[in-house]
Amino acid sequence: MAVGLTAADNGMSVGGALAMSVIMFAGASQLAAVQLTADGAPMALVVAIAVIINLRFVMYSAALAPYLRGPGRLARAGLAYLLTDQAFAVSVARFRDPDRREHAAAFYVGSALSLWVAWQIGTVLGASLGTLPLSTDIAPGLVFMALAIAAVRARTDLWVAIAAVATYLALSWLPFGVGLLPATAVGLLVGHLVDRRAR
Amino acid sequence: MSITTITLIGVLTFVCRAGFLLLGKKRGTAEPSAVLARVPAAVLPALTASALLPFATHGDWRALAAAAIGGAVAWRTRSLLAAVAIGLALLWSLEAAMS
Repeated sequence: MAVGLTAADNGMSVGGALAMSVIMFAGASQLAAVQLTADGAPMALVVAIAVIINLRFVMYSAALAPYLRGPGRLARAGLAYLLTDQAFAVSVARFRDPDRREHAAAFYVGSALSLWVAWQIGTVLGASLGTLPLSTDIAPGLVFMALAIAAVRARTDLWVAIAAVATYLALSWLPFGVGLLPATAVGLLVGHLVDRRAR
Repeated sequence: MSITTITLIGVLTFVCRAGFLLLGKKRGTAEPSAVLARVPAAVLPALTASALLPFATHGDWRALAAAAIGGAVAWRTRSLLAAVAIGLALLWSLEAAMS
């Protein structure tokens, strides 16, 4: 719903918001792309930030691949399209148990597809609600904050977050949110250094 | 946002998702996985700062109060829906009370 709400708030039609949700199907990057586009960021930056946010799917894909090797290549492409944080989390939690790996692809499709349907319905509802005369400018900030809080799970993550925010604020004079790229890089570098020191 | 941008992001996101699933390979090495695992912790707080900074620079205390309460709700409940719903409800209430 937050994606639809933000899309409508930034001038996208209900159909446009739905098309974005169907094609991208990745919440945080959709919000970031809408927000950066509204800020006037160039297309290359919008695409770069959205893809950086979605890089975690490489890791999810690697973790799930051993369990989803049964179906053919085309079917696996479909499975890949449906990959989300939530589908990954429930599937990996189940597949870790060797006794619960039977029909792994069916289980994955069941969880991922139900989320996809709910996601599209939520987008349409949010985009419809966004046309009401209510101020929703704060919605992306609230969503990013809630997602950020959920992403900070360990002490190292906290250092990563602090470094990224400090870098972004130091570079906030740069136009169109360009500071997001170095902020992410510095955050990851700090995380890497903290991890190395802990080893 | 143009359909070209949406499609480009969609295709590149699909590449991220499909890589290992289409190759059918086993897990990647530990080092890149550890770095990728930290991407959300780096990029999402920076995006939060980018989304909320304009409210701070414009002195929009109602939006900042809504963000603070929404953040507290997110911290306490770990629920995105609750954070957004309560944050927006507070913002609308403050706007209605002040108008």
